[in-house]
This record gives sequence, structure tokens and C-alpha cells, in this order.
Amino acid sequence: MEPIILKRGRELYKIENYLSEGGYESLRKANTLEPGAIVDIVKKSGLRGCGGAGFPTGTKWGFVPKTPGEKYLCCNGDEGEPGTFKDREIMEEHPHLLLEGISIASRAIGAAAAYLYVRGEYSKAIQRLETALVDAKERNLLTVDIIIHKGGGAYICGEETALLESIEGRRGMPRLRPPFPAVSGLYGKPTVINNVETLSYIPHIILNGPEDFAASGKNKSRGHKIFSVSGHVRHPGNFETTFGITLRELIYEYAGGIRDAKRIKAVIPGGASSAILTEEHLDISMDFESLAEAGTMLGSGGVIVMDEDTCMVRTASVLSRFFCHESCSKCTPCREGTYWLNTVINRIEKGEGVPGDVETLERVCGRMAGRCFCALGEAAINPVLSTIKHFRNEYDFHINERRCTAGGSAW
Amino acid sequence: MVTLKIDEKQITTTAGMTIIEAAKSIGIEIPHFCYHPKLSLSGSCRMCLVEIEGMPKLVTSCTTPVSDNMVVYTKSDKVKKAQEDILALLLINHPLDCPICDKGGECPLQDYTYKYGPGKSEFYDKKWHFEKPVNLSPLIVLDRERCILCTRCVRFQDEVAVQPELIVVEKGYGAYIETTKEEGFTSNFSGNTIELCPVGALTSRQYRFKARPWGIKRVPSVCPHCGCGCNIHIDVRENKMVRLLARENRDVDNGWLCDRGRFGYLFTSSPDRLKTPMIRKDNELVPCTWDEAISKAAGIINKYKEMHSIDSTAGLASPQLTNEELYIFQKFMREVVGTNSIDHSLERYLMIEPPGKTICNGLRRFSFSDIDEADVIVLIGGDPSIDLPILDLRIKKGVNRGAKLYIAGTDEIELCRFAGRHIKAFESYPDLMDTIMRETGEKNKYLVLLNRMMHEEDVETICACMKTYLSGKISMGGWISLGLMLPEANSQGAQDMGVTPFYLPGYKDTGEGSLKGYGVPDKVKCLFLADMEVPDIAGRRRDIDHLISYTPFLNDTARLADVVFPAAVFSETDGTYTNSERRVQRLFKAATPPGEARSLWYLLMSIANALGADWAYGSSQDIMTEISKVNHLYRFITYETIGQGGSYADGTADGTRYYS
Repeated sequence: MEPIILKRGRELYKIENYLSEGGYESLRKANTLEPGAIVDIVKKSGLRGCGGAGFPTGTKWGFVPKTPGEKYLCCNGDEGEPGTFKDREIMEEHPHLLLEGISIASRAIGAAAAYLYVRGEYSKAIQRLETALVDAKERNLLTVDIIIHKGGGAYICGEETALLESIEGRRGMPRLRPPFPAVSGLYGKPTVINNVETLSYIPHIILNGPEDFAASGKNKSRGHKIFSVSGHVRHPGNFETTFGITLRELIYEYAGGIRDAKRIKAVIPGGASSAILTEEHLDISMDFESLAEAGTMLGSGGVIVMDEDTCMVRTASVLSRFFCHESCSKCTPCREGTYWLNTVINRIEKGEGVPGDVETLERVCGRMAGRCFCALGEAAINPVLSTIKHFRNEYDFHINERRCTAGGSAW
Repeated sequence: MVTLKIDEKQITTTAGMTIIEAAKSIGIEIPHFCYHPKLSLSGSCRMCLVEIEGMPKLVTSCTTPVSDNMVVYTKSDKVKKAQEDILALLLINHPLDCPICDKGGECPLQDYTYKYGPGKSEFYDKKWHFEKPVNLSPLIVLDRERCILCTRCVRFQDEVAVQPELIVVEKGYGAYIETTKEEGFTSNFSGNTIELCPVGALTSRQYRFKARPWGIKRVPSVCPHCGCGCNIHIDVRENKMVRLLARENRDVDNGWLCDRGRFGYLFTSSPDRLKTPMIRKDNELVPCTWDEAISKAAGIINKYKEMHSIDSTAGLASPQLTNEELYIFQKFMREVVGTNSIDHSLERYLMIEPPGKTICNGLRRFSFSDIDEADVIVLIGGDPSIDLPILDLRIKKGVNRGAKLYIAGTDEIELCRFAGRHIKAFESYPDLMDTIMRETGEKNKYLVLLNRMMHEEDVETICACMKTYLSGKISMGGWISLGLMLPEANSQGAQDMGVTPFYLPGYKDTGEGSLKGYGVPDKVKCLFLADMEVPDIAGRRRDIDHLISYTPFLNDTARLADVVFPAAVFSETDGTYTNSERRVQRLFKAATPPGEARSLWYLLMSIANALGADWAYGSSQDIMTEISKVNHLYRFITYETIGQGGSYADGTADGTRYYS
């Protein structure tokens, strides 16, 4: 399968190389098309958001009012979801592809300016993007004003409305919806926020037509997806495939299987916010629908693989601490709930748990579920409940024996 | 209009109203913390979650507008579970401070926990702690452990006071409220955050540990500190004022108070309050009985009536006194003492009221609510943030709504940030008004606010200029409203009651006005001071034979008096104030004055009767009855019609009033 985005080994971050391989041709073609036509092409392609929510991209673009006026495109390069590092490779190695995608998307929605929000910790990506921007501007290749905005280090700023707040110079906390960003977003103007990977598929779709992209995939998940595989595998990294490969293929064929000939124990399939899967789920098709049916989610495609020596209580503890630390403090259930979960799980992990603690964790998750202002609080529940569901015995062992079944520490 | 069902009750209401407001309008309470009708929506506390038929998740009723055929449940099992959940979560880190927390007894968190919360806690771990308490300012103290981050205080400062001095810092469980300025919480509206705070996080330092809400007597009154006349609640415990709270009056203060008004009450229970009259014996002031003092004062006045010309007696009364006291004061000085030399100010002041002066007629009489409708607001001199702080808030809101603000003839003031144009200097008033009119030709609703140091000639010029545009604006459906910014609580009342050498009550000309100046006359021999301090009195004391002082404190002026009477303060008397929009509002007596202190009208009645008069006022209501007969401007005023919301002096209900 020929990759659309991750074309490796040709130093495509250098503009000469990108141009020699047909770079910016798609943008030239897009500039001859009506904005409405571009939107239709993307709708036909079936492209869905790659940041986690999986919303159909063409549909989102279609929400922007057609009346003239200020509009913005925001590219979400905050990539905060643990286990996800696909956007990092795209921004570092294929910055021009991203800039081209941003330009085409801006034309489609009528935006004269685009903000590229990059996670502040990605210094190399920022460097490569800034150079690429200068090079492309020098050659008058871009049709939209692109501004790179560095994030200050908060997971919540990957949430689209918190991202807008951050660009506007405010504390990154999510906004009330409605109004939705397509109607009132950045500075109150119609705004579309798209993930880095999503925008990077756009040049191919415009140049080669939507049917090509839509031809591959499974169910309603069409085209390609980049999965970031990390954890106890031989070859961690980003892998671009089509929707529909199985989890087993992804782990054992692409990522080389479990290292040191260990057995697989658990897999996080779609970033820290997704419920974990176990060995019995390995033949699941990696697409939005199949994973949702199995009670988890494709999310950002961040696949974290854990072997037999992993302590699942420790896994839950690390993830709980993440959500607790990253809660923005806006809403009661997330702010207090993540603190509660983190405190109890930490105690259990250290061997200070008491009988009833697991029931407490389940009850706290029940108090938070469906009550939070944004997806962060809702997501914090998943690692806790799914590790309890599949590995209750480990929790009980920690509580009753004050020891860990897995012996050593996790990852 | 939309029709929907809430808890099986059908209701028809305007589209766009939120569910929580619609429920409130039919008497259904939905618990909430972060929501406040005067602030922007937050939707963050999650306490107001309700169930809507057909929707999988509960929604926040404060952010969701009603729609046709919506079916809402505020008491279903799902909702009850959610309410219990949110309270359980709030209480895990909230300190168990109730026994020592000032909010106890009037605390929504306490009340909701009783009604909707879990019976016991399941959190056995360590609560998160903050250093506490933290003094944000000399007035406000913050307890960060109690704070539930509802952000009402932050939003109030950002949106209403427009002095963004509070922010949330850090994130997650470690987040807390901090001031943006190193000097602390300096906003002159900071006290409102105390009333907004739904828990005991922001509290008053003055009120700290002083009382419990169930042991307090609450009396409605009016703030005595400026000409806005903000409505207040006076909270009294064991005859001492322990705090002042806002008493919402949409037309005046809209539920807010400035810090001067809210915290300026400690003087009422100062140990230095005079409790007995004093008399000068052997050149020293000594306490004496009421009768001794009355007879001494009567004797002095009598002597002057018989021996000197009536010109040499004068009286000054404070514009913080009530209408009733001021009316009796001028009646006493004119009928009993026989002099017209009375005033309520040491300096010159402006009067635009007197009829027969046709300068303002045809122009609309200023109501605070004009600020809410005006297209153009013109401030000439003066600084509302000092003189009439609540007007500051109202004008900021007006500008936010789209009014264009012109500030003329002042240095940099707080409102300049909001001004469309700040005109520091101008050629002449007609020039100024013409410029403004020219720049705003397409607008039709104007409000012009004058300051009281202006000269009558200037006001005449301004009015003459405005009247040339008047018919044009009226034909466009607009109006031109004129107001005078009077900084004291009852300056307007003092003028109306004739405490000026120029006019009797109701502005009947005394005919002697041109012979008098303002303030203390040069040739005075006997001076009666009713709660007035005269800074240069020491230098003039040798020329003044007799000084009678009515005062709550033995201040520098009173120390030089021959007779001193202890005064009641605003909270110790029934009466009325007339504010800068000529609204008459009632003060209710909240505490008894200390010792033998009395209202001024009672004192003057005693002296008058000692001099042979036959006054028989039983209460301030009796006095108002007489005022309404004597002063035609107050002919519609009775205590019943004023009630607790006040009423315009000319009796109109909707505030559309004109100068005549």
C-alpha cells in the first residue's frame, strides 16, 4: 500500500524535494476550483477527523456560513493524547504537505488566515514548520496567511474550544457550545478546527479525486489512518495503513510483535482516553465503528501495548495521574473526580488500599459519567473502569496482599 | 413564544429564555452555583443538570434555551442522582468549616446538601489544602479551600465592574483564585463578590465572626454615602449594625453596592459616639442633662432674636440628613429663629430645579434607567467613580450595549477607558454641544450629566443649545435627558426642602437670595450646625458669639461649641432621602441611638416648644404629611406610596418625566 502522508526517506521537509515530487500541485488545482466544490470533494472522500472524535471533515466544513466575512482555519497540532505521536512525524518530516493542506482547507471555507497551533514541546517540529513557511512564502506558493502559535503545555488546549481560548491569549478552558466554532469560533468568527493528519490527507484527495481515498477502508471509516504504536513492541513507531486492518496485524506485523518473546496482556487502542482491550480482542478491525461496538474507541489511533509483566493497577495509576494533572479546573466532576480517582488508585498501588476501594472507584466514575463539561473528564473514567473490568484480580491482590501480581514496575 | 412542560406543568414563555429562568418563573427552584442572571454563562458547576425527554444525557438548565414542546424534568430519579453526585464531589475537598464559617446559615452549599446531597462522605483520603485565610484587601478575605471555582467573582470583576482584578491560576484540583494586581483587590466594587460567592470563600473582614444570619434583624434602608441612593439591607445584632447588604432596586443600583457604601458603617457603633448633650461651663465642655441643654440653646436663640438683627444668626445642615429633618430645620430657622440664612453646603452649588427658571423646560428629567437606553451619554466635569460610583457601573454597561460616551472638561478619570471621546478642553459649551451633536447626528437619545460646580449661566447655555436640537430628536422618536450629579445622599432633598438662602421648600423665592452667599455668612454671630463640620471654624470662633452643634461625634468643630447635642445617624431614624434622579426613598429605623441621642427633628421640636411654639410631630411620617402639603413638588408623596422601592417625587410611575 502506497502511503499518502508518511513517504519516508526522501527528506520531504526540504522544499526542493517536496516540489520535485509534485508538491503544491494540488493547491494549484484547488485554486481553480470553487470553494463549494472543494467541500463536496472532501465530503465524497469520507475523510473523518483524525484527532479523536472522527467527525466527517467535509460535513464540518459545510457548517461554515457562505456569507462573506472574516473566517479562520485552525490546525490542531497540540497532540496531547498519550500514546499519540503521528502529528509529530508529520510536522517534522512533512511540513509542506501540512501547509498545502491548510491552504486548500482555508480556500474551501473562505478563511484568509490560518492558525497552526503546535504543542510547545515539539521544538523540532516548530523549527521545521517555521523554515517550511518561510520557504513556501518566498516562492509565493501559499494563498493563506499562516500563523504558527506555540502551546504552553496543557493537554486541555487540544480541546478545540480551549485551543481557541489559548490562541486568543486566555486561559485554555473549553467554551460553551452552542454556539459551535463553525458559527462563532476564533474571535467570534466562523472557524474550523482540524487535526494535522486530517489536513495532510487533503492534497491527495484533491489531486487524485475522492473515490481513490474512499475506495479503501472498512464500514464508514474510509481511506488511510496513521497509528502510533508504542509500548512493549519490537518496532514502535508510526504506521500508515488503511482502516480495516486488525489489531493483531498492526501489533505483530507492523510493530514486530511483543519484545523479548513475551505474551501480550493489554492494549490501549486509541490513546489514554480509550478503554483497554485484552488478548481476546486482537482480531478486532481497526475502524471507528468496530471499536465503538467493542466498548472502546479508535480515538487518535495511539496504540499502547502492554506485556504480561505489566501491573495494570500501575497503568491505571499513571493514567489517572495524567488526567488529574491536566484537568483545567472548570467543572466540578472532572476537577474533583480526577483528584478522587487518582488519590484512591495511588493508595491501592502503594499497598495502602482497603476493601471497598474498588467499589468506591466504580462509584466515583458513576458520579462523573455524563456530567462533565468536556471530554477530558469523561475520558478519565475509561482507564479506571476498563482496568477494573478486565483485571479486577490485580486490584484485589494489591489491596489484600499489599503486593503486586506483576512483580516489578510497569513501563 | 414557545410552550413547553416542566415537571408536568405547562408554561408559555419567550423563545431564548433558559430552562432555569423558565422554571423559576413558575416557582420551580433548580439548584445552581455558577449561574447568575447578571453574569455571563459558565455552565461549569454542573449543579443545575436537568432531564429533557428524548435526550440521552442530562443538560445544564442554565445554558439550555427552551424550545417548543420540550419536556423537562427537574426532579426525576436521574436528576436527583446527578444532584447528589455533584454535591458529593464538591464536598470531598471542601473543608468542614461550617462551625467557624461566616456563610453558615445562608450558604447555598449547606442548603443544597441538606436538600439534595449525600447523607455522608465516602472520601477517606487527604483533602487538598491551601494556605488560608488570605487577605485580598483590607476589606475582603479569601478562603481558597472553601472555594468551588464557580468563577462568579471573576466574571463580576470582568463584566460588571470592568476592573479585571481576579483570576483563576493553576489548574485542576490545585487551581485557586488570585488577584491580578500586587496591591491586592483594589476595585471599589469588590464587596459585591462577597454577596455573589455561593460559599464562604469570599467574606467580609469587617463582618468576620460578628454574627449568625439567624440572629440578625434585617431592616431596609438607603445608603447615606452618595447621591445614588442605593437600596440596602441593614443587618443589626443587639442594636449594633453588623453589616450592609444590597437590596436590589432595578431602577437605582441593580443589586450592586460600592465599597464605600457597603463597608462604611463602623462609625455608627463607634465607642466615641456622643451619648449625652454637653454644655460649656468654665470654658470646658461637660456632659449635662437634656433639659439643661435645651434650655441653654433656647436661651441663646431667644437672646439673639431680641438683641441682634436676625441677619446674624445662621444655620447649616448636612445633606446627609433626611428630608424630614431638613424640612424641620428650615422651618425652625425661619419661623422660630427668624432668619433666612441657612444652607446645606460650605461651597457654591448648582440648582437646576427652580421653576420659573425656564432653562431646562422641555428636556427630559434624568432617571438612572436613561443610561440603559441612551445612544449618547455626555459627562460634563465630575467623576462618577468618586461621586456616584454605582453610576459608573451603569454607564459601563451602557457603553457595552453600544452607547457612545463623551467625557468633557475633566482630567483622566476611570470612565475615560470607555469614552468614545475624552474632550479635555473646549472653547465654549455651545461649541462642545454642537460638536457632539454634529458627530452623532443620526442618534436620537441623549443623556447629559452636569456636575454641581458648574455655573447657572453655563447650564443655561447648554440647555439653550440642546433645545435647538430637541424637536429634531423628538421627531426621530428620541429625547434629551438632563441630570445633575449630586454627590451627597440628600443634596437634592436639601435643595427641595429649601435649605438654601434663596428658596423656601418647593422653590418659592425668598426674595433675599441676592443678599446672601453660600455657606457660612461673614457676619454671623450665632451659628447652628446640624451635623456639619466647618474646617475654618477655629479661626473664626472669636467672632462668633455662640455656636450650637448637633453631631454624632465630638469633632473639631463641635469641640468649640457652647452647646452640643448628640445626634442619631441615618440608621437610627425613619425618614426619606431624595437621590440625584429625584426619587424619594424611605429609610427605616434599624437601631436605637445611643444614650440620649435623638433625631434632629425631635431636638428642634423640643427647642421650638421651649420657645413657645406648639409643634406636635409624633413621627417623621407626620412631618412628611406636612411636607406634601407645603411643598408642591412632593404633593404625591406618602409613606405608603413610596413603599420600599421609592417613588419619583412628582409621582409618575414610569420615569418619563420632564422639566417644567
